[in-house]
Amino acid sequence: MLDGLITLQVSYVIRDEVEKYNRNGVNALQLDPALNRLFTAGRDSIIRIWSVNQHKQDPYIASMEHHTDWVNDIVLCCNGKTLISASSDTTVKVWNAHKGFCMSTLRTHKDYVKALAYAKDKELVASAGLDRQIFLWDVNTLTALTASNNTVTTSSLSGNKDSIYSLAMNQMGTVIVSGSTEKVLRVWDPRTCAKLMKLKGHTDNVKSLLLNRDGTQCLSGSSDGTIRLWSLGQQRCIATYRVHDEGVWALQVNEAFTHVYSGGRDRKVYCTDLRSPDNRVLVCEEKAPVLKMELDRSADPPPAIWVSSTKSSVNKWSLKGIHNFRSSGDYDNDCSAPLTPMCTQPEQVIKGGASIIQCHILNDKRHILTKDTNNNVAYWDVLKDAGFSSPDGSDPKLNLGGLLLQALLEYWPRTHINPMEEEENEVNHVNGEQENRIQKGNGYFQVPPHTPVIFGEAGGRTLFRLLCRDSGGETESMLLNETVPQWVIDITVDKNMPKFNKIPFYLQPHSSSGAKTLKKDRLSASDMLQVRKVMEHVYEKIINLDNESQATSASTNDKPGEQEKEEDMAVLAEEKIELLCQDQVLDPNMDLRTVKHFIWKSGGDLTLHYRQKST
Amino acid sequence: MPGLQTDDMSAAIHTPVKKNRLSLKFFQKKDTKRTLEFSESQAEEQKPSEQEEPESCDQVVPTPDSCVPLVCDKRDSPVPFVGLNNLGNTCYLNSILQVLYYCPGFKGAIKKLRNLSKKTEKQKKDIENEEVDEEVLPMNIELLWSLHHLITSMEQLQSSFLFNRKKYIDSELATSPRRLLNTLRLLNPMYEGYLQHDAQEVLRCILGYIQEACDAEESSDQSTCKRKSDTEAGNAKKRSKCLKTQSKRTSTASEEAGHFTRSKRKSTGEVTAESDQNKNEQASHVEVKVDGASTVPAKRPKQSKLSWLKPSGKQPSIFSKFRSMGKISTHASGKDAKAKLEEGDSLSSGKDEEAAGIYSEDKCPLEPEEKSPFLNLMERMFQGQLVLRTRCLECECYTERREDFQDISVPVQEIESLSPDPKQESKTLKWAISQFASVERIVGEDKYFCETCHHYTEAERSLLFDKTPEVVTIHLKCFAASGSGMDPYVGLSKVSTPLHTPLKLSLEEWCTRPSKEHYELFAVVMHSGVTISSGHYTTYVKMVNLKDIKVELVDDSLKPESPGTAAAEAYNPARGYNDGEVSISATSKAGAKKPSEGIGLLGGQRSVSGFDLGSSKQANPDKGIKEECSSSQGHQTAVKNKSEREPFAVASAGKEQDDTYVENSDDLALCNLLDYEGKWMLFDDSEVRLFEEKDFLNACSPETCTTSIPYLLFYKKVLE
Repeated sequence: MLDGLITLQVSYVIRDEVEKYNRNGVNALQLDPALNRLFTAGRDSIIRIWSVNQHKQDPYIASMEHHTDWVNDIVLCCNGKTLISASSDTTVKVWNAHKGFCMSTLRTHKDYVKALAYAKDKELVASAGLDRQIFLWDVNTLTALTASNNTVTTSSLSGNKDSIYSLAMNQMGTVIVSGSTEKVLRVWDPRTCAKLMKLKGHTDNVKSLLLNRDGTQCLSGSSDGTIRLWSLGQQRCIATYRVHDEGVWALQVNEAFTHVYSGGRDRKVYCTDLRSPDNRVLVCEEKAPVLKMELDRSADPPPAIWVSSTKSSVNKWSLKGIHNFRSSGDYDNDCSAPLTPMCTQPEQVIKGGASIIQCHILNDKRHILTKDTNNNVAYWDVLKDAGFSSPDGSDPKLNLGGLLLQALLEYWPRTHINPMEEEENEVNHVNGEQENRIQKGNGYFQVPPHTPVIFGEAGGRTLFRLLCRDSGGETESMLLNETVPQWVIDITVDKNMPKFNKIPFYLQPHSSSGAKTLKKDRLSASDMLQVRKVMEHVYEKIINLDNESQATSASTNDKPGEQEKEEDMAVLAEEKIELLCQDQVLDPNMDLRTVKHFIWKSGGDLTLHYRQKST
Repeated sequence: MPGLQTDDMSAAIHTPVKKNRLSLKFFQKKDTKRTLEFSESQAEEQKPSEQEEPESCDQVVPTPDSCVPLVCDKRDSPVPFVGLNNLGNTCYLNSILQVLYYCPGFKGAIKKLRNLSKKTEKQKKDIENEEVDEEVLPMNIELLWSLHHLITSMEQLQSSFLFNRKKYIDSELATSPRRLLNTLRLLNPMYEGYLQHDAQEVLRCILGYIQEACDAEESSDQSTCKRKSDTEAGNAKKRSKCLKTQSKRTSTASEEAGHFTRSKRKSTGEVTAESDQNKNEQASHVEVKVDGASTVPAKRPKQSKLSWLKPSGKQPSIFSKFRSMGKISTHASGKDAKAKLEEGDSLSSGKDEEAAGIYSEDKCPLEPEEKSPFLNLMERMFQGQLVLRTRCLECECYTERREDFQDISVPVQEIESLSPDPKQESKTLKWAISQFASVERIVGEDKYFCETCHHYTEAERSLLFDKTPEVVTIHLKCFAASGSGMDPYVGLSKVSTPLHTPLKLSLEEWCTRPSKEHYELFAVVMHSGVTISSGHYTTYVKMVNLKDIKVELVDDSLKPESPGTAAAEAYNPARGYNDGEVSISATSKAGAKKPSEGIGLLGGQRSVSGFDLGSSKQANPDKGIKEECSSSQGHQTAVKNKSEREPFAVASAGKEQDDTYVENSDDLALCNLLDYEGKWMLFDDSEVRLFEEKDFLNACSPETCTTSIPYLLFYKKVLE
């Protein structure tokens, strides 16, 4: 599975343990009428479960976290017991909807999985995505999967020429329709996987599809702004409804297939009578483009509709007014006149949170500035916010990245080596840290145990996501053995911190000091060496012992153990001299790598100049 | 050959101008004789088919009476359109110049621009109170002037031919773009020598220089105004001020008058009576008429409308001026009329443009406000705007990047099949344009980062036309790099699978917004030969709005540059400019004929086979030795002709009978011209031949042609 050529990366998420609010748009909605629960599939990669009993103070019940990218679609199967989700992390996941844990992950898709379709009568689910593939899944097989018995047979429907954005299957599981950027609807028989027909008519991407129970009629909503009603028997479009100003992204229909509810880019939700399209009602107007709708089917006609948008809150809009309106027959037939929405206030709101919309990583690669949808700007320290509190000052020789990696995997049993017999070797390797390493982690700090750790291809697919504290689990441990790349093993298991890079540089008196130019000595030091240390060297070896300056050439840094003396020396040195690079005075806290990258900038060996302070 | 040429050059520089004329004539005679011999056999062969020609004309011209005398005319004389002499492999230039000459609105625009520049030059003179030497004109202005000169000489030649048909029997109706070529060579040394060049390049070049001239004009205009107000407090300022106010007044008046005369003209259909009268009447009247004309032409109203829509430009200031003078209602009515005119006949537009051109001959001062509509004229006529639109498929938001374009370069066949596969299926132009404006999807591994979604998403990238120009130039990429060629030019081999060229074109499906406009093919530059650096260029032009051509009798008293002989007129462009230039142009012309001859023999330049394949039924126009004709003689003949043909002339043209004497002869001349309405003319340097539309289509179509294929297509905008 792991291709040696693909570089794997490790990432982690800084977050609260419980994220109670949708942090971004909500791509999909599902209602469980039996338990009065609403499932929301968020762009923040979390599926949340909400109680929709209106009297409840806090509707939040639980989060289902396992995806690592947008969750694009969800379907509730097996009478609400099982939830299936499709995500832009290219996986389809099977969840226990009641308990909220992930049962298995299906990795057959090669690109974003955009749409799911469900045939209730057969407990059959289809998934489709930007890889142009459609896979059919038997839900009962999926729920029976275990970690050991994890093979599943699937049938795939191919033939799509373009990325699929929408999918529908009738309740009986006899017809499946896909909508794509190809602009045509393709129809298959899921029982035989045979192509049935292509339906042409839309002039843009098809983003939403619905089928009636027996699969004879199909409704499609397209980015071209139209809704079309198709007869699959006649293989043609029966009617075209132009109710929206912009793309139609979401459709819902009543049981009788007579009234379509539509929403889209123009933020409006309409109810249109399919038999007399002039009879349309503007249900409501959202504050952002409508992504998905879910009818509350607790009664017929439906009493309410849930609407999600690119904003993080989900609203329930009452449809009662419409039914009164409909029964009165007093339609506003004038399509040209702007309709006024039936509802101006939602009946119920599931509040959302803010999401980060802009970020900037600072040059030190440690601090990040972010801006969220509420226009709050935050300053993050990727270490501190992960639990790092600087141990004994900031030792410049500490490899913070390595420590963090150790902290992230500290519960992984494999890192708990018994180092007794190897101790001698180990001590040398870890730069003289006096560790009796039987303890876990890095010995300095721990990350919050709820921190999600993600292994993935660089800039691509996610391979494995787990919480920091879960790495001790049997399954997770096993999966980690498969997933963790060698460079992480080196650090966390073998405790081999990467060697510091040495960089060569020249030290010369500054031209203003008038001192004679010494013979060019090529020095070499760790690129983590601070400028302070170089100043000490200059003070000690050149200014004080001017005569002997020739003799001391090479190593300044490789002689630990003279700490106390150096402390005084450092203070003295900083008082007396300064170092310059490209005529810029250097901060003693800077390390050589920083100097080379941000001040020297050019190629060739770094050249530093020293001079005595004029004051 | 080159030796001979330089000899001529050096000799000519020291000889007086008159002698040059003689020598030129000598060369021309020789040349035409040669051509005569060359094409004699063909002419004989095709004589029977020649007989058919008038009959096909009958179908087009509704009045059969008028055709009877024309038949004899045609048999004896060439078609009444002016060719351009080849000055040594200059067919690339000639073909382009013919297109520009017949490009709707172009002639009038050049005349106006030239007039404007003349005026600014004059102003400069006034201000500096010193002689501004004509020869120190900026080169791009000079190009404008020489282009203008060429246009007027072509017009005059045509007019004098129409009035004086007999004088041109057996003669070649052609002039030579000598002065223009010289200017072009000075501007761009690439065009020195006698190498074949790319027609598309030279078109870009010329249009670029005209645009530069316009820009220079604009800036100089501003600077002179500045200088006036800054330095010259005295007379000049006062004069200009009173001039301005006066013209302002007249312009507002003319708004009404123009409107009035327009409608009158529309109803009566008379063009020239007014202009002739006006010429003799007071200047103010002329100005009124002129102003009306300048607002009338179909091109111009549309353009000014465009610029009204645009927030930029100087138009708002005009508007406010009108308002301040309480004339806004008049203005609006004028607009209405314009709109009507657009809907109605685009025919009258050309007429008015011509009228405007005449006015400029009268040298009435142009108002400064009037400049802006046509100072960026080249831009508006030939330049459109493309939009590169990237649309996120998730949120359907898009980002756009705009780019100006002058022409559309389209492939003639699919890239992968450039290998010499003879069974290439020829494609349609529509296919070619959709190749140009194809939609690209950003999918798979390298997704698009959408700033609205804050996510990597799929996206669509498409190229659309945002603004379409008056004239769309389609450049067919007929030349493909063949693998082995070291020299990039030699290596380009021709793809001889032409596209199906439609007469009408709609760009709507590639436009950002729906429009009712469509395009009509009006000219095609053909290329025959095998490589880009050799071969021959010819031009097909569709003759339209011929009845609006102002056929004007050239009077010596009115025109300082009288057309002595066609040839003399052609190479006497710089009369009133410096003598040195004239002599150079004359000599190099004389010298140029020879090299062209030589090259022609080498087979590079003139490929007779090329246009023979064009399945022409018509005979080559007879050629002969040119006769000298004086314009006064021409006048008399015309008058005579008029009295003979008056009855049918009036009937056919449907003009009013109370026209003046000269008027009717104009009508007659026009009537002759009208036979060619809707016909395609093939301009092959100095030769001009008639093509019926079906023959033209045949010539363009892939079945009949192997070496001569369309290279540049010119479509003009038509409003419905």
